[in-house]
Amino acid sequence: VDSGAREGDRPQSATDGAPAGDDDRQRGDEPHAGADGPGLNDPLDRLRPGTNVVVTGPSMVGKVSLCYRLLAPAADAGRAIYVVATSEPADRARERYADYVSGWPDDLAVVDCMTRQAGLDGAADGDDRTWYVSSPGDLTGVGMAVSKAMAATPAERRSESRLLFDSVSTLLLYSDVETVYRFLHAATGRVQDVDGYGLFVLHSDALDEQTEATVTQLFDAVLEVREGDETGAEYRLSASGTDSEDWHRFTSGGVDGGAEP
Amino acid sequence: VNRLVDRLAAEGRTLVVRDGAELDGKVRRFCEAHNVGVRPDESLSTDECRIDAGGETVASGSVSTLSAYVGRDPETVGTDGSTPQLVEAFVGGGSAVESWSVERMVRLSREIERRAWTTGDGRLRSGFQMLSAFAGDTQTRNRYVKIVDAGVDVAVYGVPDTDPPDGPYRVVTDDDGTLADYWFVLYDGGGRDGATAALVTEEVEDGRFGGYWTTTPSLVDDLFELAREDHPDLFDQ
Repeated sequence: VDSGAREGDRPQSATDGAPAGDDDRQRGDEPHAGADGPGLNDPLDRLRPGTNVVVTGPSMVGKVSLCYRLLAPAADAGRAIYVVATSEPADRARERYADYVSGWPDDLAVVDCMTRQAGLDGAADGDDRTWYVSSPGDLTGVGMAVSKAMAATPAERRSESRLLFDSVSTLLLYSDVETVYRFLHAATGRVQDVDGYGLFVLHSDALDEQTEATVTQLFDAVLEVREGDETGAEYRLSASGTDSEDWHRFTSGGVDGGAEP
Repeated sequence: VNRLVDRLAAEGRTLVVRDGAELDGKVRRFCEAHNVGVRPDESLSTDECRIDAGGETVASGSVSTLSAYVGRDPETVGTDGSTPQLVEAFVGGGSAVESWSVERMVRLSREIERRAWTTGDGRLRSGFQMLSAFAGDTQTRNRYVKIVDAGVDVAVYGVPDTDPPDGPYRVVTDDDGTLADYWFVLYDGGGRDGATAALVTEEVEDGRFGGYWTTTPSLVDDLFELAREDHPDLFDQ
């Protein structure tokens, strides 16, 4: 595929009439104004390229949808976007992406660790934007797939690209923490090498402190997500060597404005 | 519920090698993580191995290739190479849960609950042994409210050792204690094959659980069917 030609076809900015932008501008006018819409406040902006962020918080507060939303500014700038989906198929990842990012969900590079494990058929041989791994326990396979996904994008799009890893928690169901640590060390190194940004989701429920500490020490920044009041969840970014930001509210929901996680 | 455990056990895969004691730790852990047992066969050479499932050989290869693959240093993994057919054959069926702690069980249960919440459709059936384990845990109840709000049909099960909590979920009281020893979470995926998941375990000793979990859609369908057959009073819908 000629990615240069593809790039010419993509909307040049989030304001090209994409429904996601319209919807969220409306939401910003609601009484809980002050919540961040997509693209309005990109917390990764203040981080240097090559930074890896661990996104922590309890299950079901909207960490993953926040992450998908944080892919949007880079996607709109024409940077490559990679998603490693450990527990959902590539098409589901593309659906979520389409909820938050204008442009083509097809353009998303996905490493799918789910389809083969569940014994699902279909196009499991992969294509030039989808790489299949036998299971989330096959970390050699995940590592190869991430390398291949990155190698398949032109160098100029790899710089300041964003990689979403959803999630580290799933890896910990299959492999011991030392094995996961070594894998993450390499994976974050790859993000560094391309001057990208890594977002690694870690559900903090029932995670013992030592495991959490072992995993989080690999990262340059922590994006904490917590339950807010009834208007939605809140996030806070702490980068090493700087003070924590204040908590920011964000609304969950995709283009339909529903409570889609 | 034992039939559900047996159903998953029947899916077991086995790595057949000349001498299992010779396997290195990484291969051993890889087997454990994928619920692949190890069985000796003296007719094999020291480097030969195969994966058997249901009495048939599904893949064969060499121990050294397998060991080199799973033991590869992640720092040097690049774009070269492919996954050996033998490794692909490790997946499918269920993964074993062997004497897991409550903490580890909670983490796995969350994984399944997150799938339900994210999908926002389908049926989630969760056994808490004692109803107080659910009723007395505000965070868990709040999470289950979220799952219902997302559009999932939710039922929770437990021996009625406390008043059933009010909520949008259905509470099924297990008056006879039929399910008292079992920690299970079944999610049918709401028609999305990639979303199904099930965990079926028994408390094998105090606070320790054994059984299986799976994400294979046909297996999860079977588990729902078996649950309905064996406990029509509890799993009638």
